[in-house]
Amino acid sequence: MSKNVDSSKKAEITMRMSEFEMPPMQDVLIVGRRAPIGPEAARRMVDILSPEQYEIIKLDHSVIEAMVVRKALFNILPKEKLIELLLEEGGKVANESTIVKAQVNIVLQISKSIDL
Amino acid sequence: MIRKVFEIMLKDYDTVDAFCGIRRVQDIAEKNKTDCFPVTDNGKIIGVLTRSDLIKTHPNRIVLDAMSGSYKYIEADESVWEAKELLEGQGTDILLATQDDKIIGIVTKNAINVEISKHIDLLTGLYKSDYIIYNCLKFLEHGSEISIVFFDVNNFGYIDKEFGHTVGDNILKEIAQILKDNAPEGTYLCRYGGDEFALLTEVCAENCKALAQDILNKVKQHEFYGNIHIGISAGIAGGERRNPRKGNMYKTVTNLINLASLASTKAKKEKDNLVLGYSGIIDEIAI
Repeated sequence: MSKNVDSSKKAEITMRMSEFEMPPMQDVLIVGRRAPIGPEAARRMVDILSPEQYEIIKLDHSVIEAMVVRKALFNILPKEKLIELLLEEGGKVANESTIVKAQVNIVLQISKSIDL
Repeated sequence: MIRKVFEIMLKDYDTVDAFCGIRRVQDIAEKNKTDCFPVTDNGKIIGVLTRSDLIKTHPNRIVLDAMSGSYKYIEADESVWEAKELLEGQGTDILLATQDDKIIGIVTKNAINVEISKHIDLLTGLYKSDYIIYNCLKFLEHGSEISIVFFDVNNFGYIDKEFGHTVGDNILKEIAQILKDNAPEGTYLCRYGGDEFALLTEVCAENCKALAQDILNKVKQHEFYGNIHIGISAGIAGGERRNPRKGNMYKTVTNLINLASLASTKAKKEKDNLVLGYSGIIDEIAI
């Protein structure tokens, strides 16, 4: 007894498009000690796309090896304060094999009074 | 003669580029059995990638993000002992051997360990004569006064013949241990030959007498293997350089050791088994 089996193959294609972020990181990258990309590679990558805009801060930390920070942030907040803050919060989410991207919005509130 | 760095350095060595991927370097290390790589950037050495870096780093990283080792320079004409000391220094993984300011080879910890192990006496665990000669030269370079105390076991040939060589070996081990336990800090000890030991000190020969006497007494009081009575003799020779910038002192140092050795032979006939053989200027000792 013979059986005829009809078979066919189909491919379903889906596409997702979005604008490429320039550079592909925002304000800060928190690099774990065993992350697949090291801080030097991250900085050089970003340097090609946004030259001279990012700085590596190497850290003496059990989990986090370094942070790559947009230099402009240091114009608004002192480096030590910002790093301390990022470590405090980033340390809770990062582990040694991850790279965490952070967006940092700083709003300065200034109030002055002048003599009339 | 003391071996030099150029005799043990690797002339053909692998370097890796700072932007090379770790996975690729792991393959090279596996294939060539290399444990340490100088890292280059634009042809210049900028760091060292160690085996430990290769083990703990994510294979996707570039070498620049993995290297943790450090290097120092050494003249190719320096002694292997100098290389050993540099590599024992904190955080040095590799030495770059230079000649006329050009890097002509590298010295790894493995290469040094292999070389230095040849200078360790397997029976007693003490260094051999090269170690003392190197340290003598180093002391003299620094303008220090040096003294050699040469210890020689009395009638050792008779002990070997009477009780056998394995008993003789045990006795030598025990003597070596007594010397180790009683050699003051800052002195250097070696097994010079069969039943001879040498101790290098940085004090003048006259001041070595008390130290030598103390060690002779310790040996006398020690209960040796099989209750065999053992005595040793000591000869002392020492002095200082008159001309600090004089050339090669190797021959002078070996002559000084020889004087101490002759003094120890003479001491066998003395009641206290101790003879001060030479004390004075050692720029040109002729025997």
